[in-house]
Amino acid sequence: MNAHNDDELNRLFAPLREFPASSPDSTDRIMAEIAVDLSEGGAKNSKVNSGWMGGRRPVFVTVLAIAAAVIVVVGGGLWQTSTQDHLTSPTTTMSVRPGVVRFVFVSADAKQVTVAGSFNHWNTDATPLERVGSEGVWAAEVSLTTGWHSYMFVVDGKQWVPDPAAPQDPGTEFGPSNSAVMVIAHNSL
Amino acid sequence: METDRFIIARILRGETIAYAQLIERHRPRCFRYACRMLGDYDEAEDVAQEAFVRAYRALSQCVNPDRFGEWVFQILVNRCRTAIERRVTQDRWFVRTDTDILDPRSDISQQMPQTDDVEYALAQLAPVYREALILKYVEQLTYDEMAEITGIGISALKMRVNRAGAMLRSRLLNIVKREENYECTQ
Repeated sequence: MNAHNDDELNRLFAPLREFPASSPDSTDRIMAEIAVDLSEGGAKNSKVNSGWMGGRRPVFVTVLAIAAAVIVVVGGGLWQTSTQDHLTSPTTTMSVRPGVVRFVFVSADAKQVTVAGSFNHWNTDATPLERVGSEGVWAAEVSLTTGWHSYMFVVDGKQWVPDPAAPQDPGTEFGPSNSAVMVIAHNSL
Repeated sequence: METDRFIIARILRGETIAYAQLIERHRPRCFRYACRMLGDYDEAEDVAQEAFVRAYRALSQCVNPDRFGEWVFQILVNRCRTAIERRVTQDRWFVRTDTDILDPRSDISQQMPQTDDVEYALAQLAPVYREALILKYVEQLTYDEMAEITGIGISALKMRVNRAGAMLRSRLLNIVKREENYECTQ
C-alpha cells in the first residue's frame, strides 16, 4: 500500500480509535464470573486455582486474603471454623453465616445509615443498618449470592461513604471508590 | 502504578480481587476492538468478558506477565473470530468480495464519508479483511505485532491490508454516491 492510501485510511479510521463507553458494571460482571468459577472448585480449566485452591492449604490462603478483600463463603463448615477470630470483632464488615454478610459502619453522629450496592440495585433505602449498642455501631445482615458485589454506605440519606474495613473496588469510574465483597461457595475451599 | 507483573504475582498468591485492576487497565482497548470487529456492543461486552475470564483461568501460563495486555488482546482476537464463526450464516449476507470496484485513483477521504459510513463499510467486509484493517488502522499495530497476534505471515498480512483497504474504499465510494443521488432526488 502506498503512503497516500495509508494516510487516507489513517484519516478515515481516526474516529474509530476513540474508546467506546462500556457498561459501568463490566468489571463486576467479569469478577462475578471468576467468583463463580472459584465456587465450582476452581474447576473448569483454571490453572490459577489448581495452584492455590486445593486441599487444606486454600483455607490458609483465603484467611490471608481477608486483608485484601472481604471474602464471604457460602456453605459453612470449614470456613466457619477457620474464621472464628474474625467473628469476635463487632466493628467491621464480615461473614457471620454462610452466604450472609454483616455490614458494619461506625458513626456516633449519624442519624441514619443504609448500605447501597450492586446486590440491591444501589437503592439507598432498601437496606437500612440498625444502631447496635451505644457506641455508634450500625449493622445489617444481608444474604448475598455467590459472586462479586460493590457497595457503599449512605449516611443520613446523602453522604456516600466507602467501607473502611473493605478494599476499594478498582472498577469504580467516578467519585470515591466503592467497596467490594466477594462471595465464594464453600466447596471451592 | 503497579506493573502488570506485580499484580499478577499478587493474584497468583491468592489475592484474586487484584485481577479487577488488570481488567480496568486493559478492558478499554479490548472492548474497542470487539466493538469494531463485531459491530454489536452487547456481543462485544460478552466477548471481552469471555476473554478476561479465560485469561484469568490461564494466568499461570502467561509466559511474560509484563505483556499481559498483549496476551489478553490475543485471546480476545481469537474469541472475536470464534464469535463471528458462530454467526457466519448472517455474515454471509454482507460478504461480496467478487463485485468490488477497485479504483486506487479515487481519494475517498476527500468526499468526507461519515464515521457511520466507515463502520458500515467495514461491517460489509469479510471478517479476515475487517480484522486486518482494525488491527492496522484502529489498533495501529506494526506488521510484526499483527503477525504475532494473528499467526499470519507479514507478507500475507500486507497483501490482506492492501486488498482490504481497496475494498473499503470501493464500498465507501458506493455509499457516498448513493447518498449524493438520494440528496439530488429530494
